Parts: sequence; C-alpha cells; structure tokens
Amino acid sequence: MELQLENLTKQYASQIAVNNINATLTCGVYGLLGANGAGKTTLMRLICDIQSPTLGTVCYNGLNIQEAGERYRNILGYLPQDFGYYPGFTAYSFLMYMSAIKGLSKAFAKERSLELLDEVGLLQVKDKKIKTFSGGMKQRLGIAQAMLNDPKILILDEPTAGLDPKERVRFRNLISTFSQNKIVLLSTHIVSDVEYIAGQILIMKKGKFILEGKPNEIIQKIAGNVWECQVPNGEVSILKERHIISNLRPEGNMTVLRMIDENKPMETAKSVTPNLEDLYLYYFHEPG
Amino acid sequence: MRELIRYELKKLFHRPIALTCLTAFAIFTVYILCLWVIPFNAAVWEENNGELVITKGLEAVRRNQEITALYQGPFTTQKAQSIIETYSFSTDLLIKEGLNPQRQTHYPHNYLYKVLSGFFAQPDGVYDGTTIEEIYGNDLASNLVLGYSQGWSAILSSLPDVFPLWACVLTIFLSPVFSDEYSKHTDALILTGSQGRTKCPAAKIIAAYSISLGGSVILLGIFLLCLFFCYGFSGLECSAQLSPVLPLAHYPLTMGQALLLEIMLLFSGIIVYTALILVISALSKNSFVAVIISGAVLFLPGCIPPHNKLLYTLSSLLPMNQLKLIPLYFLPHPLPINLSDVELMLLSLPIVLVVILIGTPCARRLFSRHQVR
Repeated sequence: MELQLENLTKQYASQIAVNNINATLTCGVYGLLGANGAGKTTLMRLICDIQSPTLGTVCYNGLNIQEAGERYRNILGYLPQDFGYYPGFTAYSFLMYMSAIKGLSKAFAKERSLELLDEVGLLQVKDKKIKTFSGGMKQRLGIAQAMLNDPKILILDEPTAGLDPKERVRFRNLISTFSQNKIVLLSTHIVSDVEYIAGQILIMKKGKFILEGKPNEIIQKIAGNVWECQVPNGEVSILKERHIISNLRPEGNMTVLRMIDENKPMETAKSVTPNLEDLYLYYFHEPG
Repeated sequence: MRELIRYELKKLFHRPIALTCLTAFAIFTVYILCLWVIPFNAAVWEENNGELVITKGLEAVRRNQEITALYQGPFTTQKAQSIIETYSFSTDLLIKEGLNPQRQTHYPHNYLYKVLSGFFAQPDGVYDGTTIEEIYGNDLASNLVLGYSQGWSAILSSLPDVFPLWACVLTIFLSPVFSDEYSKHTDALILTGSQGRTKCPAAKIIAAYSISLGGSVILLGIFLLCLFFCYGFSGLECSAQLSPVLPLAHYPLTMGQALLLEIMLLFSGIIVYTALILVISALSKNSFVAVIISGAVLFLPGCIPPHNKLLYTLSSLLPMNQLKLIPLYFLPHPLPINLSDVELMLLSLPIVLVVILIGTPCARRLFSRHQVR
C-alpha cells in the first residue's frame, strides 16, 4: 500500500502553499512538522481530495485519487484542523451520522461508535450534546469519527490541539495501536507527540519538504550543534539575541541554557544529544 | 439513504431560529384560518314577517346552503333578478333597524345576494334590469353555473396570504442546507466520507424538498380539512365568476379549475423557490449570506411595476408572484404576449421541470466539488 505525491502543487493567487512535492508514503506513522503557513493543512486537504491541486497528482496504489473517488474515500479517515460538529447532536448520534456518511451499516456503526467512544474516553457522556463538551472532548470525538471506518489512510491535522497531557498519552497509544499496516499522517506543533509515535518525520517549510526521515536519522543532522552551558542570570538576555535557545532552566543565580549553534558558543558549553525539538527550532528559528 | 435523510431533517429542525419561525408561522396560519376560513364571522340576515333574523357561524353556512340549493344550476338573468328581489329587505325593516335604505347592498344578506348585488342591484337593493349577457358576454354567460362556493372562495382567497409567508419560513429553514456545512467546517468531514459527495448531498436535497413540499401539502391539507368541516366539499362545479374571488374572470372557469390552477401555481412557486434556495445555499459561504440572497431573489420581483405590462406579465412566473397568485388574479387583459391566461399559468409546469432537472443537480455538484477552505 502506498500513497504517491507527484509534483504536487497548490497555488492560491500569487501564493504557493504546496510547492512541487514528490514523496511516497507507505505503511507507518508520519509526523508532519512545520510552522504556521508552511502548507501542512493544504497538503493534507490535497491528500484528502477536498482541494484540487493546481498541478500534480496524489495516487493511491497507482490510481489517481480523484478518479478513485468513492473507493478512495472508503479507506480514508480525516480529522481537519477546524473540526466542525453539530452542537445539537449527542456524541453518539454524531458518530452514527458520520457512519452513515461513510456508508457503514447501522449495526456495525453502533458497535464501532460505542467501541471508539470507549477508546477516547467519552462513553460515559455519549448521550450528552456536543455543545456541552470541552475543547479536548470535542477533539477526542473528532479523532473517533476519523477512525470509524477503520481507514487504511488516516490524516490527522493537529489532532492533539486542546488535549491535556493525559489525553495526549492516550491519543499516542491509540494511534500506535491503530497504525499497523496503515498510513497515518499527522501534523502537530507539539513536537513530542510525533517524536514518540512517528516512524518518519516530514519537515515542511514554504510548501516543500525540507527534511524527511526517521527521527533518529534526521536528528543526527544537527549532531554537534546542540550545547548546554551554565551562565549568570544577567547574561541570558544577551545570549538569547545571539543564539537559538531551545531551553533555559534557572538554578539560583545561574541559568542552564540549551543552545543550538553550529559553533561552540562559549568555552564552558558542553555538546549534548540533540532532540526533535532542537531540530525543529534549528530549521524554524526566526532571529529576534 | 433513509438514515441520511433523517439526519439532515434533524439538523434542519434543530436550529432554534427555524423552530421560532415555524411557530410564528403556525400562529399566523391559525389566525388566517380563523379570519377567512372558519366561519366565525359568517352571518345571514333575512327578513321574516317584518323582523330581521340574523343567523351566525356554522348556522349561517347551513342557511346559505339552503338558499343556494333553491337556485343551483345554470345561471340566468331570471335567477339573478329573483335572488335580488327575494332577499332585499323592505324599507320599513331597514328604517326600523336604524339602517340606511339607500345602502341596502352594503349590508349582509346571504352569500348569493352578496355575490350578485354588486352587478344586478342598485345601492337601495332594487334589481337594476341588467342581464347576465351584458355583464359576462354572450359566450361566458351561457356557461355560468350557480352554486354554493363560499368555502372554496375562502380557500382561494386565503392561500395566497399564507404561502408567501411559508416561502419566507423556507428561506430560514433551507438556506443552511449546504451553507451551514461550510461555516461550521463540517464540509471537510462530509466530503471525505464515502457517501459524502453522492448520497449525502442527495439526502440534503430530498430533505429540503420533503420540508418544502411536505409542509405545503400539510398546509393545504389543514385548509381543506377546515373547509370540509365548515362548508363541505360541494360547489367545485360552480363558476368562479359567481364567487367573490374571481368575479371578473373573462374566460370560463369553475371553482374546481380555479383551485387546481391555484394549487399548481403555489406548488410550482414552492418547488422553483426550493431549488433556487438550494443552489444559493451551495454557493454561499454561510447561512446568513444564503438567507439574504434567497430573500432578495424572493422579494425583488415584487419591485417590478404593473404598468410595465410585458415585464410584469413575465415576472408573474417567478416564485413570489406565483405564490401571490398574480397570474390568476392580477394580470392585465388582454395579455401583452400571445398566450391565454391559462396557457401562461400552464407554463409553470415546464419551468418546474427545467428547474428540477438543472437546479437540483447543480446544487449537488456545487457542494460535491466545493473546495474546502
């Protein structure tokens, strides 16, 4: 099973949101990282066929998804960034409605809805109206609806937005369990979410993949560029202007800084093992 | 599919504003029924042994039916003269009751007297000698049938009050069918579902037509039910010219034919307008925009001045003018186009067909191919 993106381009007026992307996604979890406006959401919409590319194609097992139509949508699950819902529906009736849209039989839909509501921790409130739900609960419901048809391709746009740490752990476990023999593409700003579950990381900037690979491999791109050092509190503001600071931790009169720099920033700095967040900052740091 | 239609109906009926409009409309309908159809205000005034006898309500309806039964059948000048002479009050009675003898025809007598006195009696109630040929022309006069058609007259005159408002309710009800999905961002969820581009928009369209046509049938049914209980169903064969609603129709028309034409115009107006709302809803970014544009489409033809005869006649085929029954009641004579009144009204049928065949798939296609933002 593979999803091929060939010369995929989307242009809005003069702005190119997705710029000639070529990639092949096979089974596994892909973490899509990028700053706001990098083109992540547009790319996901193109893969879901809810926006048409200006150029290029998305093919599933060699078949253009626009031609595959219903056959493709049968194996697709999608959670949009702006997850819309019907305030007057209960969680259960919403899932039943989405099941009907996905063409699932009523008996299967009932069973699957209850199973998913249980998995996302909403079974107790299944008969409550969605308008009474918190942001996190709505997001969990969104995740459940995306998985209703047991999709082979699952596209999740900012799935962990609004989830508390406990819910995020639950979500990660759910995706890890679900993802076997499936293509899961998730975008997030929370780097740690993809760090744990993504087998492949795609870093997107200005409509292009600027880096892609396994987390451990791509992190090595900045090996030797991440440093930790202890400085007096008064020097922190000066150092912040000169270097990319990925973390700072006050310890009495001193502050422990984690810095990203191609050169050793100071004599006392020690090279440390980089992580994905360091990598993200390295590529998306904007001076000032 | 049935499940999807059920959910679409549930979505439309879950909106507080729609339910508020529906409730207000129900109250208005009851008001119109009480005002025009249910004969609370019906009265028959008769002179009996020098006394004024007044019968009211359902009793008045029964009395009118008894009086009409005496004259039922082909209408003649003799019958007109007899009705005027038999049921006019004596001057003594009018003076005794403190009424003005010179304004006799302004007072209630009975249904037939009320219909005919305007043509055949002087204001003081004296038969003026007019023949039916002088009023209706030779061709029409020979085909006129007299009978009791008060109930049908009430129905014919009250439906054009109710249906334009029903169209307004439909504007509120149906404008969100597609546009609400865009503004709620649920379009992305629907369009990525396997049935999201095929059965789902079809279900939305069926749900919309179910509401508009179902509501119209229920509305008509309520009026007919009230008619049946208050007046009975007889009188459809009577000439529309011998009723208060279409006294000046210049072509042969029975109450039954008038009713059929009216129902055809009302339903074609509703169907065409529903199709337009669906297309507008599929094109609009949100329901507010859809309501505004649909409202404008509904009301703008009302701005066409009647003195522009050609434009006014052609605009009578637009939804609002059909719902106000302009083609039946208010067109100039002769028509500025080479068609008879009935032929013009029958044009509604191909228009409905064209709108259904083009508008409905168009709305479905617009939604299915919509680019999610």
